[in-house]
Amino acid sequence: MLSTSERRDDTAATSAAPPGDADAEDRLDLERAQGGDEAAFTRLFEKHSGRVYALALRMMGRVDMAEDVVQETFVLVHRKASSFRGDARFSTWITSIALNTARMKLRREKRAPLPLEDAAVLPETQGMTASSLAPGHAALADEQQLALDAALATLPRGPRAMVLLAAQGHSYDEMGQLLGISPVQVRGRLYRARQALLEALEGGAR
Amino acid sequence: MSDELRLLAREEEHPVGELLSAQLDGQLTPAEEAELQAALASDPALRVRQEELQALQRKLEGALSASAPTHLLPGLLVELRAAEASGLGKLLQRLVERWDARVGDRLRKTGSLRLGKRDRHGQLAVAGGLLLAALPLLGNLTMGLSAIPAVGFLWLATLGVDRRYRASAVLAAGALAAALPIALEASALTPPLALPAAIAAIAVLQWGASRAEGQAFVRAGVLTGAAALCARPDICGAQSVIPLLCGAIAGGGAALLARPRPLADLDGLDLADPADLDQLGPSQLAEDLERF
Repeated sequence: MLSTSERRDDTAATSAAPPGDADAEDRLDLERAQGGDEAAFTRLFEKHSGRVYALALRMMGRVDMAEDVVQETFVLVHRKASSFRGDARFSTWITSIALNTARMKLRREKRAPLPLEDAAVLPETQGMTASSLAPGHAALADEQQLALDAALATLPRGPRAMVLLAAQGHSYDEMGQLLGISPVQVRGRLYRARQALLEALEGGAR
Repeated sequence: MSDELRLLAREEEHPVGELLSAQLDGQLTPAEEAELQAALASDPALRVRQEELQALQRKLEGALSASAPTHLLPGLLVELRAAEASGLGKLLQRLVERWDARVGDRLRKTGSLRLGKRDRHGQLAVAGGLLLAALPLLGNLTMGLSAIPAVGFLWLATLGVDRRYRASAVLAAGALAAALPIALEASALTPPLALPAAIAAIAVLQWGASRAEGQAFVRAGVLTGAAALCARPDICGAQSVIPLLCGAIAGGGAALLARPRPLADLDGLDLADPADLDQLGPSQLAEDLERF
């Protein structure tokens, strides 16, 4: 299942790759970007940075950190382009870089992992208001959105990443690769994560 | 029994909720889909849960549809360029960009930089390299003829070199091209030795120019050529070899010392490779999931 952003990607045929084959276009652009083609790098950035940013924002809870993750992710994409083996979609590869960059960043910030029972009030979401969100994101920051953010923040980062990745259209195989678990485990845990999220939303609404 | 309790009791015996979740992701087998449809037909509470999950998915998709933070792009491009160049590389890059702003546009418009038409800096690099390579022609016809193969190497050096290094690489190759006839004429280096040496130098240049470490070779080449050109008044003397060597050593050393600082602690790790990720310690995300 493709997410909204991926469906948009499919329509963005800009290079010599067959029309509609967004992944082939990305690979081509990555190759060109590696050779120093800034236009190709810009295309990759424009296509994928929104997804990376949104994921990082929900994982980190802070606009400045999410922007850092976007920047570091794309620097690494550029520098590690030759290590992209092509056995996964480009969007999965960049997501793995973004997730691990976020993880390293959190580690550098010396933030202790929050167990589920202690995570009801995450400091990281306290500053996530409409005014602190990046341009283009503020429109989404209505009451419902903030409630969703607060509910997401009650999930530990693993399950949180899982529901976000599913919403971005990653398959169970891809999520398994990204999170280091089997696709069968993804299925069961994703359901539990969604259930917990629904419960948190219902709890917040009461 | 309330709807909620009935739903929970049912999930104890069968993970029907899991089927609902998997349906959202399009991950059901036909048999599971049939099983779920049968359950939905007979269980209103399950249909409510299905609608809740679908609404949740829509909300999440909405939350993740942030537009690209394009305000980050200019800074990112600058950072990428700066990260790849350091020390003399930065200076050279700045000089090339300044030169390009003033002269390059005019040259491009007149079509005089056809060789490097792949991109702007390639054009500048080829132009710079050709100018350097042509210098011997101004002095001595014999030496000029001996520079022809070097010009060929110069052209080869433009192939496969990362654009960010291409300017440095070609300038260096040009400098070597200029230095080659000097070396050929120098009594200390006989032609049979000098030619393979030059070929090896340019091969190393090409190999290294697309890697961070290769900048050392590139800069060594630039300084070598510059030193050789400085020694031009007595180019036929063996003493021209001394500045050549000094330039190479100084250039290589300076470039190695001025290697770009890693932008992230992740430098050297293949982030797409689970084996490398293990070096970062146990995955916090996987740990979270285990506890969940």
